[in-house]
Amino acid sequence: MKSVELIDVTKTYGNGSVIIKNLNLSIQSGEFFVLVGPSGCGKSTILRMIAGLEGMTSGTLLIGGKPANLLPPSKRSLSMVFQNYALYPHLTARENIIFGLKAHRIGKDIVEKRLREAAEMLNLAPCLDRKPRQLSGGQRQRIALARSIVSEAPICLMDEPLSNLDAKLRARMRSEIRRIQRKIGTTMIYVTHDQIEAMTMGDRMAVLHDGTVQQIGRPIDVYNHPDHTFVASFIGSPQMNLMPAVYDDVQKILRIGASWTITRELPIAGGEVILGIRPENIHPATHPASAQNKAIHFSANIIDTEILGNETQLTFLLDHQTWTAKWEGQWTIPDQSAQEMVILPENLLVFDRKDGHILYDPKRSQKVEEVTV
Amino acid sequence: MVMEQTEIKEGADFPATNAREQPINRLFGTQPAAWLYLLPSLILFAVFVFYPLFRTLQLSFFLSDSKGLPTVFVGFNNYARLLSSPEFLASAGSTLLFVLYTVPTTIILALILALLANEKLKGIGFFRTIFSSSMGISVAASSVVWLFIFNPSAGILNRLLSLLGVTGINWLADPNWALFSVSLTTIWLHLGFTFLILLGGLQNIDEHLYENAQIEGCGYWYRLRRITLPMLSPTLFFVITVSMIDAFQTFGQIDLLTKGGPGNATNLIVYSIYQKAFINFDFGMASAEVIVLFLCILLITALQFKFGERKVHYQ
Ligand SMILES: Nc1ncnc2c1ncn2[C@@H]1O[C@H](COP(=O)(O)OP(=O)(O)O)[C@@H](O)[C@H]1O
Ligand SMILES: [Mg+2]
Repeated sequence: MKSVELIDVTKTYGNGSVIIKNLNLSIQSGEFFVLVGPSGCGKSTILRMIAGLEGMTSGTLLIGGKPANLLPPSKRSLSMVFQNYALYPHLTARENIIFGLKAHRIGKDIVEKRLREAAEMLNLAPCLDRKPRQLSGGQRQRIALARSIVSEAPICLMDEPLSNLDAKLRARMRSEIRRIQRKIGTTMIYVTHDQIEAMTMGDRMAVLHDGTVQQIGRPIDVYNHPDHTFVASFIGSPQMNLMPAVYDDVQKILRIGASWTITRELPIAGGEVILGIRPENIHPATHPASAQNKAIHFSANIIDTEILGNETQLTFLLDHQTWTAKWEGQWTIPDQSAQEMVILPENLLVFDRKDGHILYDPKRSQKVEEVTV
Repeated sequence: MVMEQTEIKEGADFPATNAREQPINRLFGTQPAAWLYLLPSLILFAVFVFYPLFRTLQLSFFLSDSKGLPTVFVGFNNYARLLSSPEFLASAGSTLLFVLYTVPTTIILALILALLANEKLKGIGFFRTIFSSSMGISVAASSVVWLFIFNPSAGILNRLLSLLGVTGINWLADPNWALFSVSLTTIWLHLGFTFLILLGGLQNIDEHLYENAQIEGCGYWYRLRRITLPMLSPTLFFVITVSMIDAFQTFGQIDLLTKGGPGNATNLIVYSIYQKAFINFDFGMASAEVIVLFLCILLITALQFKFGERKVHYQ
């Protein structure tokens, strides 16, 4: 298996727009690395540059430690799964899977062996003799996976492979892809716009925004310690509450909106900030957290509740700002009724309002140092 | 994990409805209003295709006067005369040769040009325009241009030959060269249209298929053979069928370049029909020849559909 490294990579398209700016990524051998970001942020472009389908404007690509900028796609020891699967409609599933092997005149025995193994791994045996249009979306997806598996390439690139599947199948394929990657040990570079896939599948992930990396790290670290308001809002569902606030460093007061204040000393300079708190960290007053003496109590009007099975999402207003809370259990609360709630100060994040960077993250000191590149 | 193993059924069995059994529905189908929507095109077809075809068929069993009106019923006599006439047999032979010269050459040339023009290169749009330009030129105009090109003394072809020290060829007047010259003009004439259709077919092929092949390390010829040609096969089939029919019906360039001569060397079937009908006023025999040509084209097209379409992959 091979590592992949991108150093100072920039991409500009013919019309002069800079799509990727100074990208630095170091993906270890055998790692499951997820590139996640909203649509149009340049994820596919990065993947296509690694594959060699798109040239880089500047920068260096190392594959297995060796410069690969000038290598043609076939010499980069990788396979790729496309979003639309790119199956050959005139060939059967079997012929699709071994398409590349045939081009390389690989021996019949080896081809048969690899085909059998891949088909077994993905339960494809019953549909090998059908053409793609006779297959369901999930089966087509697995044919594309099988094609990448039989190539036995040390690096596998996937561009939103699950986005054409329904929610249930997507959940199943998430774990299936993860399982196969672990079993084979390929270096996986997986592109998605879906933060759930990023959270559940990756060893590490890079959150992209407008062609720049916002944060790289293990999913839980990125989730718990976002570096930036963009990351904070993009990762996690429902998204983190992000509210404009002002910190007064003389009186040591954090003012939220016009009428809410939290008196607390923060190790930051005074000024305009953004306060962030995850919905699951806003608890009902009955929660054990309210017993702690540093707990912050407040009361707010509930404007909406949604019961999602075993958890309840509440929407409430604080000074015309909409907040979301997520409580365990099934809560039936009449709309417009006041509700006592509690938050713990250690769950409050403070971001700079101008550039969105993190200013204060109380739990950050306790965490394991993240692998930064 | 379990996968769906149900076979895909050809034509699932719908329950037969009672309505289907009623005679009116048997005639007009379960949705008689559909015929109303078909009516405009049915009328057009009836007036401009079915009626003339029927009249031609009728005329082919009669002798006619000089206005083309049937006079004496002669049964299959016109056909017998036609099929035993050496002139017709020569005509049929030249037509077959002409189809053989023009159709494969046009399609292969157009395919090569389309493959070239489909590459993503700077300024390729210019070449696409040039390659398809002969589509916008009428048969008459291009025939006149080719008359100049073929001119034995002043034409550019013979001037080039004389530069090479080869004696000039009497392109249109030499019985050995006339059919070739007319074919050359026809190939040039049809190249633009065929090119454009094939280029359209090529551009319809999903780019990702090639990218995948590129990553898997398939060479150019492997990609051409395993991706491009199969994916292009519906377009190729269409182009082959239309070009064949077109070639069998060639008329304009013959009339303008050679008038069927020298001798009968370029007297293709449609031109000989024209001569029989409008120069010799033998409408009965001309009609018989029309019917024979019609049946030939029908047969060839049917054979093409029967044997050619098997190799065609439709999405
Ligand atoms: N061939 C191209 N020419 C010009 N702009 C392009 C081209 N391909 C992509 N882009 C632009 O680059 C940006 C990133 O595209 P892409 O990498 O496909 O985003 P993502 O995969 O993250 O949705 C988009 O704004 C898109 O419009
Ligand atoms: Mg994309």
